[in-house]
Amino acid sequence: MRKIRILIAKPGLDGHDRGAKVLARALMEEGFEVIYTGIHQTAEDIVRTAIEEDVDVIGLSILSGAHMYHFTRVLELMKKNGLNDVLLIGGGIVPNDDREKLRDMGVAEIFMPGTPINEISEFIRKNIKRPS
Amino acid sequence: MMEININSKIEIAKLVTKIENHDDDLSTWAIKNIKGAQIIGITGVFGSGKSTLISKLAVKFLSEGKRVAVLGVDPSSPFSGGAVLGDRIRMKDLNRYENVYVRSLSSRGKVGGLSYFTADVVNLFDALGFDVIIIETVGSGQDEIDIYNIAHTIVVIQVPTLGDEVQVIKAGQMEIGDIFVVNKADQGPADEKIREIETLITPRENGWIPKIIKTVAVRNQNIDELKNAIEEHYSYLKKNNMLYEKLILRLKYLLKQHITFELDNLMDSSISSQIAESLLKEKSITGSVNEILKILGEKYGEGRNI
Repeated sequence: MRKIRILIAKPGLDGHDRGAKVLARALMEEGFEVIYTGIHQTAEDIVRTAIEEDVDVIGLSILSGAHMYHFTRVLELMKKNGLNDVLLIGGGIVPNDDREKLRDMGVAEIFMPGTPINEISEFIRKNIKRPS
Repeated sequence: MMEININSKIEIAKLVTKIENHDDDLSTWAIKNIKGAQIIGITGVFGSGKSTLISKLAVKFLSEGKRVAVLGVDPSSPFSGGAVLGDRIRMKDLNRYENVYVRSLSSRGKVGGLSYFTADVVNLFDALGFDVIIIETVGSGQDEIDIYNIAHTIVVIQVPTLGDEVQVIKAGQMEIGDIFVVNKADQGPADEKIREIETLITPRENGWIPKIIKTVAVRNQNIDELKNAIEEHYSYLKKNNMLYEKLILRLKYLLKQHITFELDNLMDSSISSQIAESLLKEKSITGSVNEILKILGEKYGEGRNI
């Protein structure tokens, strides 16, 4: 079976990466290949990495409050580069109103703190856009 | 066979994925189109600074107008088969350059520092027209020597404070280095380390005398010196007509990996005992192991197939 590849990235000036690291490790334990880029990534960095690593999923961890900006920018660049078959998800502290807006914009799901890992991995397995 | 736009990272990335998933036709195409890229292997224990050093080194090649491909291999989990690939964290600088392609590979169950199809991916980069290919091995330790079969020049990274002089005379990595780098030279007795290596290192099989270089990769110190040493070694191989020997080694290694991959898969399947019998038919070990497995199965397995 093909390995599902996931990019976990932290955009912008947000240094709180404990959650992203825990998730990267947990997804590894679920059998995924996780590319972890570390903190302070620009949207350009993230999309370039997603392209070069040929990932199925981009996961952004944002706790800074700048989620609307970063997701918008990443979505823009994904569209520009034709990454229509890549699933974009997020995690962090995002108010409900914004979550809905983000879903309307094309973010598949935003996972809030406390989400069980298997919920996330199930979601990924069910929703990836490329044949597995 | 195909038209590939080398400027399209999306296309390149998809091809690497295909090779990683064992696309025989693509591997064959790559071999037939090898152009002769310069291949550099970077190895050394985890945390020694391989990724940082590669990032700085790649910039030197890029500034000469060369096209560079970087491959970073990280270990896969023996339990889940997953992996955390983190080599790029230290290679952020490279995002500023167009002519570089960076890819992370999971070792996917293979030991030795590379994945089964790393040689195939290297051939692909070579065929696509990259001038320089830099490979970072997993970084687990002393017996990680697969890279010897692929790279023209092997750089072994050491750090001060790790190990005494006995480490230097051991078999394995110390035998394959063409260049030894003592990185993080600002963090301990680097000169002592250099002396240990200097005193005990011997000329390589092909007559090359290994070079030793002191670097502080994060501060970009002595990277030029490292680059020059790599070029010098590469010229040495060229001058002595040794590049083709390296290619032979690489292709033989590739074939062996394909065989091992198939064999490993078969050994994980239900016909593993038949394979063992046909391969080891004259050997007494097969019979005794099977006998013991049978007894264990009867005793503890309760009908389970061990």
